[in-house]
Amino acid sequence: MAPFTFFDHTGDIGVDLSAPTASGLFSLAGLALFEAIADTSGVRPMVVRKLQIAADSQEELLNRFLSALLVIFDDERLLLPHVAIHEMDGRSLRATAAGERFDPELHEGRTELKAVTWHALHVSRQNGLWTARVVFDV
Amino acid sequence: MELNRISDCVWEIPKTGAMRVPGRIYADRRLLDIAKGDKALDQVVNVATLPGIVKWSLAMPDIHWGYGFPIGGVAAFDLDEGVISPGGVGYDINCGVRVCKTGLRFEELEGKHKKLVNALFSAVPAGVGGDSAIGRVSKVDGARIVTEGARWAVENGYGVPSDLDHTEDGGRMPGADPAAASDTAFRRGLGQVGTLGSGNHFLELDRVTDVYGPEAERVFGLRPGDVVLLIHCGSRGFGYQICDENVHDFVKIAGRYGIDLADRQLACAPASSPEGKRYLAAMACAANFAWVNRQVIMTLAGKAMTDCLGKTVEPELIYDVCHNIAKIEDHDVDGVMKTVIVHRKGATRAFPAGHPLTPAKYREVGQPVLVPGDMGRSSFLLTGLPGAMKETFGSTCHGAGRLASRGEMNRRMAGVDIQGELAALGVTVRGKTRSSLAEEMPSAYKDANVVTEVMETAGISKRICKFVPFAVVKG
Repeated sequence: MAPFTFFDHTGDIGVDLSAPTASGLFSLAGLALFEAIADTSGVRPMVVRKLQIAADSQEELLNRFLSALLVIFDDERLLLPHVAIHEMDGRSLRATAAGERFDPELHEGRTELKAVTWHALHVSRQNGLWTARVVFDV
Repeated sequence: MELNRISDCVWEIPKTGAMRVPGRIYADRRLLDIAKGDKALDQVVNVATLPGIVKWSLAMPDIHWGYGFPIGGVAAFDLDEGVISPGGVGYDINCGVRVCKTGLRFEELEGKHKKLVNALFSAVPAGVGGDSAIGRVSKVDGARIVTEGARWAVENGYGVPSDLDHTEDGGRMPGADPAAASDTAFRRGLGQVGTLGSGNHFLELDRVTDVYGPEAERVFGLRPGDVVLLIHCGSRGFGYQICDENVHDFVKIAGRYGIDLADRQLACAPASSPEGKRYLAAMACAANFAWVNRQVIMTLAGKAMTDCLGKTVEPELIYDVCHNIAKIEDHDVDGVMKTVIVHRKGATRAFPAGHPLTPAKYREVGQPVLVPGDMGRSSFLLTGLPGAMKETFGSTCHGAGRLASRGEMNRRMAGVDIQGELAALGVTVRGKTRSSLAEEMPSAYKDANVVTEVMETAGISKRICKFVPFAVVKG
């Protein structure tokens, strides 16, 4: 199974993710968010942003984490696909996300994301594999 | 799912299970079959379970699968006993459309379409990461924008005072409180005033091809061959953030208010609760931001056309409508006038002739309604009819309605000469990316002609003019 796969949702974009660890899953989710926004293949880790998120559930934690990354993009125009989760339990995480400022001459823009929705959101672990589904509002 | 035929274009989902009211769908048989193809009708049912909903959970003929509420959904809730749902408004609060006269005739622009498209594309920031052409506005101006709405724009040189008369709510939703919007919302939005965004947002020049009665010229001053400017966008990151934060908060507090949610995206709170009132105050801020955004874009577009053509083009606003909004309005509920909160998520207000909230200029014909179709076929100017007050809380459709997903369109358009296909339809187009055009090709949408015809047959809204695009900018 590919680590993440975008799927169709009428007017929007969804992504299915899988990873051997919860922290790997969250790192991938961060990358997928920025891949939906732009081609991140040439994005270098020039600047770093620290994130600290707390939530009441693993799903809320993923929603809040991705929403925080989206705010950074809108506010600072930073593509931060190099995500590292440093500490994480089911209710909180500490992470860094690295990348560079979006430059339309260098990075192929794809689509603007309005939000990370709660629609069909799930995070689970089965047979040693962590999976998640997230739908982005376009 | 059981569906009872009420008329040729109205269908009812009977009240069953946790539904508090029946569902009603406006569609002909073909559109109904399309709606059955995804989960939009299940979402009509889910909305019908929310506390305080009155009469019906409604779906317009442009309905498609959203999250929580369907796109094309209308629902009214009792102000005292009902709820307010941020998801029932949508992330893009006061996403809407405006149409402006340009004073130009189609024939005088022959050979200039490409030049015009390039001028508009350069003047109005669009797509991913588009920086505002007017720079990042200050926090002080930000607070004024979200409080004063379109009036701020006019006072700062973006438009003229008569624009306010031709904007829903005068371009200013009352009750806006900047303290109800987070610093994060301001951070996301202050650099985006006067930007189009991406997705289905657009800026385009259309020609009037058909008029359906003498009021087109007498009231709206539109004749076949006239060129109009259409703008479709909303409250940008400011509104998205307000919705996001409130959906998140309301998911957590729904249980405290004894609300059982069929879908977390339906998160809601009593409209009379502190949380409900706070969301309404923040939503009004975003509505005002969106009107400023469209006002600034209209001005930028007018300047670009002036520079491009070497003659003064001052867009004259015909009307500006919201199609993602919740409004406190008075409506007849089973013979009793009640104050309700009408959620229109992908639906447009369509008050009939004589309604006091319709601007004086249009009161004899009803509130103007703008229904953008797709970038290859047609869009429509409509007015509300009396049936809207009886059946749909004064609401009608908002667009053609999506038929194919973005992924499906990218697959279908692989290897296709997109610009060539649109050129064959007489449309010159420019988008930020190939996929942004592929995803918005005409075949991605239902036919706005059919959708608006359903609402006319149902006695909800009436077509005044048809517009056909020839110069299109996509985000």
